[in-house]
Amino acid sequence: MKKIISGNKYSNDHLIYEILVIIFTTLSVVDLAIASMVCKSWNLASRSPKLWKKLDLSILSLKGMNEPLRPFAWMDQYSSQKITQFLKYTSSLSGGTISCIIFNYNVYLRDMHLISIAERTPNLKRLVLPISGNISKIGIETALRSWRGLKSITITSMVHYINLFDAIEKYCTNIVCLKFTYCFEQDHAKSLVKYTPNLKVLSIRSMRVNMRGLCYVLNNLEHLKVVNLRHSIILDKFDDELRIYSIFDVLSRVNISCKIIVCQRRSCLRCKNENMRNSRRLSNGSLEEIWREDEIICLAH
Amino acid sequence: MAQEASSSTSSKTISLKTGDGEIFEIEASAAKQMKTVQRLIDDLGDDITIPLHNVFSKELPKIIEYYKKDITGEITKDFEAEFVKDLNDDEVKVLFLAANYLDANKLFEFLSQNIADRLESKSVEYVRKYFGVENDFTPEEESKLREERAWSFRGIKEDE
Repeated sequence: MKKIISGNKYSNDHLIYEILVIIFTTLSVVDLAIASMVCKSWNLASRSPKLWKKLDLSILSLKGMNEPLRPFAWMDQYSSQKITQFLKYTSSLSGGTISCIIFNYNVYLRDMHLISIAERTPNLKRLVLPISGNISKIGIETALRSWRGLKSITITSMVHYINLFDAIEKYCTNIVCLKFTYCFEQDHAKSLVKYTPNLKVLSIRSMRVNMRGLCYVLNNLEHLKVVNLRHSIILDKFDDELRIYSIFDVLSRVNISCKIIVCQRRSCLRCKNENMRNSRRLSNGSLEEIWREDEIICLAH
Repeated sequence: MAQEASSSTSSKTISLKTGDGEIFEIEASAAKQMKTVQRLIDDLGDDITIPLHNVFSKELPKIIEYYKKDITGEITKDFEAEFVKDLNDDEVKVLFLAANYLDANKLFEFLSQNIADRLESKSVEYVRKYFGVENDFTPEEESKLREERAWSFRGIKEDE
């Protein structure tokens, strides 16, 4: 914290700027946008690059007011337009420094949202997609064309993986971290090996994982350092018979040097949460937790 | 407070004089946390009453209370909640500016978080009033902002 004792106006302005930036660091993005409209010096402080490394829309209000509680939220045209305006305004405050975007889990994401924010965030390294939305092939391609430096994605079922990986093939050669949130099949595995050969970190926790797909990535992604399989069910179908496998079945079929994360009762996040949860909790709650949590720190938020 | 015969500074007290002429005592180790005070001690010596022109008798006791707890390592979330519970918005602001003047980092950061909490989910007008800030945008700039402001999330389906 800089300290200036002299009384002239210039040093007072500098002081105000620094103090305001400190106060602003704890504000949610919505409150920060409000702060930027109070007066000119606040507007200036709200543009500090320190405040804009991450655009976190998953928490719109720290007190939980007006938070959309279910997927497909704010789908109507009026709300969608408001979201676009908001994204444009906040990205203009950021001056293009945003390196991580976390969309709100429940808010419905459209092409125009994705494209307008992508145009204004050329330095993006990490993208966390929401659970609901309608992103077309052109939408994801246009967005990734602006995000060539992208390194890390949390993938949800909202974008068809074929469109996503086609776009990755064209524009994003630096993907090193991926998190899946719905299931992991052989086709996903093939896409990974083909389009993200430099992958180092993969999280496919808490979901159905196809046995052959898993072995395929473990054997063919040379740079893989860690795979999170905590609480996942590994299964496959042979001759119409569904079989479940253990991690040891997997390890006996592959030759790997990467680290695999599995559930170790005491330190496991999900087991801990399970104990605290009551049995009537909606499954949506836990789906959002799957999206949010991860034992791999760079994939959690 | 009694001073030890030995020269250890841990029990030495420093006298602080506020802008309105009142004198308060703090322990030397607490004074170390307030960099402005420490600088003055380094310049003037620790036997002299340190003058603090911009801090007044209303807020200094609260600050001393905070750092008394801090040097014993007892600052907990409960203590912090209790500390700000009965303070109104103006009192928090005054404490905050005093902490800034004294360069008391820990208190400063705690209070800035508290101010941010008080501003949360409030409107632009409320924030201006709270800080006593004048709207210095020109009418053109203001109307441009009002357009962009239409996106406010407070009740996204209703009018503001």
